[in-house]
Amino acid sequence: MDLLRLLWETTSITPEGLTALAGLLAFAALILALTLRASRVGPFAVRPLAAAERVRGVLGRAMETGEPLHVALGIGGIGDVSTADTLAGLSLVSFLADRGALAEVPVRVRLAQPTALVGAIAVLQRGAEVTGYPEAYEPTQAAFVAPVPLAYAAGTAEALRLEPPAANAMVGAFGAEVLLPAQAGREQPQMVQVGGTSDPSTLPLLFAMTEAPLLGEEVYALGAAFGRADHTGSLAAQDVFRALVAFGIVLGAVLALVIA
Amino acid sequence: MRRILPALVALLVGLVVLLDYFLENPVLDALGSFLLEGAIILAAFALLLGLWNLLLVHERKVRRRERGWPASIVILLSTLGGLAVGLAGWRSGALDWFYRYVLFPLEASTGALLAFVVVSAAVRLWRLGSLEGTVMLVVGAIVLAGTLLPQGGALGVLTPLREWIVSVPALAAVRGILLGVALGIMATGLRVLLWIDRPYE
Repeated sequence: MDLLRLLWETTSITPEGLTALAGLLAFAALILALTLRASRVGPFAVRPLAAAERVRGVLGRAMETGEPLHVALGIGGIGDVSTADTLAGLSLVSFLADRGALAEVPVRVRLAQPTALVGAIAVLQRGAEVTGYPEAYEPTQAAFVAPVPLAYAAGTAEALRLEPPAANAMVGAFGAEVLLPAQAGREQPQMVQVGGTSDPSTLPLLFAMTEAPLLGEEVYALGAAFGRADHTGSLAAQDVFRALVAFGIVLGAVLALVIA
Repeated sequence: MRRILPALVALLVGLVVLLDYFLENPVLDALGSFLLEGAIILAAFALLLGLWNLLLVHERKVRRRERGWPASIVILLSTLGGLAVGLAGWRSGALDWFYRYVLFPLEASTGALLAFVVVSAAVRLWRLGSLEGTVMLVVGAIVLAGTLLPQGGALGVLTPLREWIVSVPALAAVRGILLGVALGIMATGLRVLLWIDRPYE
């Protein structure tokens, strides 16, 4: 008890920190409540994402032709500022690992950070085990290309030319270097190419180079788009908070005008 | 136990680091710093896994004579050579020389290629003929011309137009995207903390 009292007495928080913490806790509570609701009553309706539909659609062709599916996870890792983007890419890898193991479609993942490699290996291995085909996992399915963005992009582009996949999905953290693998993908007319990132300066490049770009926050909706009911709860919580923030901005602008 | 223990560790570590961000407390500060330093050390070990994976992927390519295997030999030799020079002669300056006169020029040359790919992307947008693509291309051309061309005469209108595009519609769009991205990042982190997502399993 004394230790707890000592901890309490030596702890302080700024007014800004308190506001942010309260907002975070409210957001967490809303996510929890809506996720429970989604798992008990049923998932919330999700707007179809063109990129997810394209990837789903190409699975059948890959089964027939034996072509691999390729995911470029980008230059981000796990534990750095781009963790959320990398996890979004890994949710796509997870979906493909499950379906790929069942349908005997090889899934290739190329990445630039060793921490992302650990995640990719775990997801691919789990996909093969969960579906009952542990032998479907190969240690070289996930490949660490290079830790430097341009070297990673050049290596990934070359790999796409040497072994053209049925689909190339570039989902994760990317900069302008994404143009190199995207251009290599454009050179294969049969290849379905999708991409998504949260960096606003990279979005126009993906918009120009891919058939179905995931713009900004759409990247984080991939899990829900691939049928994860528990992800639809957090997606609904995001919508509620976005509406609240938008309302706050409009109200603030109107009040500022009135006061002026 | 195999499922619960990693989840509990992730939950505890996440909560401590999060509270350390918001609260001022000497014990939390020390614990948060210790955990972050531990994460950095673990990431360094992941680099060893990355090196092993690189060697494995390219050794297999060479052994099976897969397409592009000669390039894999170059990659294997340069990786092992770089490792040997780094370990044996890290004070000799050989790695510095390699970085300065081989890697950086190669990187700059590859980066220069991006300009051509941007032009190719612009042509593709124009050929698609969609409204969004056309708007993007026209706006891009105006901003580029407003930045690069010498101003004056009839072109004088380009600079204020560029300033307006960059500071009003483009900034508004970027802020809208960033608002959604921030909420998405928060939701992704909270899903892990709330045990909804378990990427470490």
